[in-house]
Amino acid sequence: MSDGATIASHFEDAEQQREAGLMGMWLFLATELLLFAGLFGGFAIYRGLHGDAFAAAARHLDLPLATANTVILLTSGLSMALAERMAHAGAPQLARRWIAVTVALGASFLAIKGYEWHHEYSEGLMPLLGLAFEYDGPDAAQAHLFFDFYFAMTGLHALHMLIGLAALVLLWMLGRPRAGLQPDRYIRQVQITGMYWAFVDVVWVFVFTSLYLLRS
Amino acid sequence: MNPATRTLLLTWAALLAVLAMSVAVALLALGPWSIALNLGLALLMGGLLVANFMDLLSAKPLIRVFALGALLWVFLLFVMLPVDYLTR
Amino acid sequence: MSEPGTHYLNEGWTLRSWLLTTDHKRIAWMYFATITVFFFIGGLAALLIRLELLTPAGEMVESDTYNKLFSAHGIVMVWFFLVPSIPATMGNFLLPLMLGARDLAFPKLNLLSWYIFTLGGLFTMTAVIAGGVDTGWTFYTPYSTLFSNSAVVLAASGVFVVGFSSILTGLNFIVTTHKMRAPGLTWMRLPLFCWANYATSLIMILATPVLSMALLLIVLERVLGIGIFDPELGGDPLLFQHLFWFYSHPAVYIMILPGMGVVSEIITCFARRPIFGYTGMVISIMAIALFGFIVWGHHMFVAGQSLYAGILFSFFTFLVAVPSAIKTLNWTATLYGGRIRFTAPMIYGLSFLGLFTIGGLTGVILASLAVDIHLHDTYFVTAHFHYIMVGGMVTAYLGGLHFWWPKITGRMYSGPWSIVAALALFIGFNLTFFPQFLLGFLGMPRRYHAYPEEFQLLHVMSSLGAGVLAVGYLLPMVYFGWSLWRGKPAGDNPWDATGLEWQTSSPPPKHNFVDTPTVTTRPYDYV
Ligand code: HEM
Ligand SMILES: [Cu+2]
Repeated sequence: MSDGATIASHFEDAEQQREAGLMGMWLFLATELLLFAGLFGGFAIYRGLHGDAFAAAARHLDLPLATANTVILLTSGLSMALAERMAHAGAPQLARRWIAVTVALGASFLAIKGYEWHHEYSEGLMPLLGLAFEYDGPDAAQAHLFFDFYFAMTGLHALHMLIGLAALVLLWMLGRPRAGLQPDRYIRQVQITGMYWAFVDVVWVFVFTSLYLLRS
Repeated sequence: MNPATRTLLLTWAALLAVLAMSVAVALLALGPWSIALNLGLALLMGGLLVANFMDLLSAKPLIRVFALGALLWVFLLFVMLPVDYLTR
Repeated sequence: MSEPGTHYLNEGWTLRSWLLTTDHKRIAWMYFATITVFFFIGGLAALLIRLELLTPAGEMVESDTYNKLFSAHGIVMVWFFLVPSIPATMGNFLLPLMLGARDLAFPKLNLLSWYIFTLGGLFTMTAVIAGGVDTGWTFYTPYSTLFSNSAVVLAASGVFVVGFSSILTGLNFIVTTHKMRAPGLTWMRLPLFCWANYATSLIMILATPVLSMALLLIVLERVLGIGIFDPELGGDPLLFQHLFWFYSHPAVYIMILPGMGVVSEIITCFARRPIFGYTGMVISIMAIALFGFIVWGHHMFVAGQSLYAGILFSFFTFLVAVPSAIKTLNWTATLYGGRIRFTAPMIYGLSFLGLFTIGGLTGVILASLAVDIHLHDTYFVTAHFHYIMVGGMVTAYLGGLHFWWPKITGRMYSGPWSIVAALALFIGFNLTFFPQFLLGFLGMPRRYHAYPEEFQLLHVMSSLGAGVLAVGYLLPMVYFGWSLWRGKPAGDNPWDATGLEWQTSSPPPKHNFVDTPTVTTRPYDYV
C-alpha cells in the first residue's frame, strides 16, 4: 500500500488492517441487529396476540410528523454516504462538510422526536414512571403495552442516534486540516462510522413500520 | 456525475419512493394485506440501505456471508419464537 | 528487537504497565486474577449452601437468605466465572500464539473488554452486598419484575454490562481467526482449540445480544414501569423465558465448547496420537454451535409452553446430542492404542471425558418430554448441569491451566501434588453430585433449604464430597504459587507437544515470535 499508511505493529500490512477493521464493524452490527431482534420479536408476538388493540393504539401516533422525520433520516443516510465517497476520493475537507450536514439532519430528527414525545406526554400517552395513562379507546391495557414498546423502541433508537452523533462530531473535529492528519486512517474512521449511521437508519425503518404503519 | 455518486442519489430517491408507497399502503388500510405489504416494503428499504449506503454490494464475499448469517439468525428467532404462540 | 532474556512478564513491572497493557498475554492474566476472585466468591456461597443442607431442618439461614445464596452462586459462577473462563484466559493467551499472530486483531478492544467485565462485576457484587438478589440466576418474570424486593436492577445490569465484554471478546477472536493466521495455516490445519473458540465466539456475538435485551426489559420494567412481561396488561411472562433461553441454551455451549477444545489438545499430546477423525470433530463443533440455537424450549416443557412446541423442542434436543456423542467417541478412539502418559493434565482430560459423558447422557434423559415432567426442577437437573459445567468445563479449565502453565509462566509445578489435586477433584466431584441424581429421582426439588429426613444421607454425602472437591480446587493455588516463586524452568516444550505455541520461548516474548512461523503440516502430527 501507499507510503504513509499507518499500520499497527501487530498487522502485516495496511490491507490486512483495513479488512480486519471492516469485518469487526460488520460483526458488531450483527450483534446490534440481534439486540433489536429480541425487542422486535416480542413486539411481533404481541402484535399477533392483540392485533386490534395495537392497530388502534398505532392510530394515536403522529404519522405525518414521523414520515417527515423518516425523510430527514434517510437524507442523512445519503449525506453520510456522500461523506464516505469524498473521503475515499481524497477530499477530507469535503467529507467534513457532508459530515456536518449529517449532524444537522440527525439533530433535527432528534428534536422532532423529542417534540413528538412531549406531545404524547401531554396527551397522557406516556405510561412511564407512574404517569397516568389516559387512553381514550377500548383495550386500554393492551394499548399501554403498545406504548411500552413505543417508548422502548424509539428510546433505544434515539440512544443509538446520540452515540452516532457523538461519533460524527468527533470525526468532524479529527478531520480538521492540521499536521498529522493520517489520510488512510481517516478514511477508515469515516467508513466505519458511516456503516454505523446507515445501520441506525435501517433500524428506524423497522421501528417506523412496526409502530406507525401497522394501523389496520 | 461520478457513477458512484449517481448510485447514491438513485438509492436515496428509491428509498423516498418506497417510503411514500409504504405510507400509502398503510393509509389505504387493507387489513392483513397492509401488514404484509408494509413489512415487505420495509425489508426493501432496509435492503437498499444495507446494499448501497453500507456498501454491502461491493463488499468482500466473506462480509456478505456474515451479513447473511446475521439475517439468518434473526430469521431463526422469528420462526422459532411463534411456534409456541401459534400452537398454544 | 527485545534483548535476550526479556519476555512479556518482565517487560515492565509497574502497575501501569499492567492496567494499560494491550498485550493479549497480560490481559489474559488480568482475567485469570479476576475470575479466580469470582470463583471463590461463588464457591463461598456454595459452601454455605452445602452446610445448610447437612440437616433436614432449615437451621442455619432463613429461606430468604437461602434464596439469595443460590442466586448469588449461580449468577457469579455462570456469568463471572464460567462464560469467560477458558476463552478470556487461555483463549486470549493462546489463540494468537496458536495462529502464529503477534496479537489479537483489536488489542485495545481486548483491554476494554476486561474493563467492561470488571465494571459489570462491580455492579453485581454491589447488588449482592446491598441486600442480595433472590430470583435465581434465571431472573424469571413476573417474579423478577413484579414481586421480588431484592436488588434485581443492579444484578441484572451487571449481567447486561458483562454481556458486552463477551461480545467484544467473541468479535476479536473471529476477526483474528479469519485475518491473522500464519502462512500455511489453513482452516483444516487449525488446532481444535482454535475451532472451539471460534465456534464459541460465534455463539457469543449471536446469542448474547438477545439476553441483553431480555435483561434490559426487566430493568426498564422495574425502573420506568413499562409492563412488557406484565400479565395484567396482556403481556406474557413466558416471553422472557423464550428470550432468556434463546441465549442461555446456546450459552451452555459457550460453557462447554472451549473445554472440548482444551481436552482435544491434551488427549492428543499425552496419547501421542493425532486426533481421530479431525474433520468430523470440526463439523461437530460447528454443528453444536448451530443446533444449540434451536433447542431452547427444553427448559420450558412444564412452564406453560404449548405441547406441540414441547414436542418439537424435545426432538431437536435429541438431535443436538449427536455431535457431542461423535466427539466423545472420537476422543476415545484417539486414546485407543496410544502411548498414554498419566500426567496431571491428562488426568484432568480423562476426568472430563467421563464426567461430560454422564452429563450429556442425563441431558438426553431430560430431553424426553414425559420423563422431564417428573424430573424438572429437581436435583436431577442440578446434577445434570453440574456434571457438564463443573465436571466438564471447570475440569477442562484446570486441565488446560496445568497443560499450558509451563508456557505461560516458564516454570514447572509439582508433578505428584498436581496428580493428587486432579484425583481429589474427580473423587470429590462424583461424591458431591452423583447423590444428587438419586435425590432428584426420588423427588427432592431444587432450591429448597429444608427437606424430609429420608433425604439426609444423600445430602450429607454430597456435602462431604464438596469438602473433598474444595481440596481439589485449593491445592493448585498452593503449588502454582510455589511454582511462580521456586518452580524449575520449564523449557520451551516440556510435553513435547505440537502446535505453534510450543515453538516460541517460555514465557513468550512480547510479540510472540521472533520470526513469523510457517505451517506445513496437519495439526497433532504425533507419531
Ligand atoms: C453441553 C453442555 C450442557 C450444559 C452446560 C447444560 C446445562 C444445562 C443447564 C444449566 C440446565 C438447567 C436449566 C435450569 O433449569 O435452570 C440444563 C437443563 C437441561 N439440559 Fe442441559 N446442558 C448441556 C448439555 C445438554 C445436552 C447434551 C442435553 C440433551 C441432549 C441437555 C438437555 C437438557 C434438558 C432437557 C434440560 C432441561 C431440564 C429441566 O429443566 O427440566 N443438556 N442443562
Ligand atoms: Cu438447554
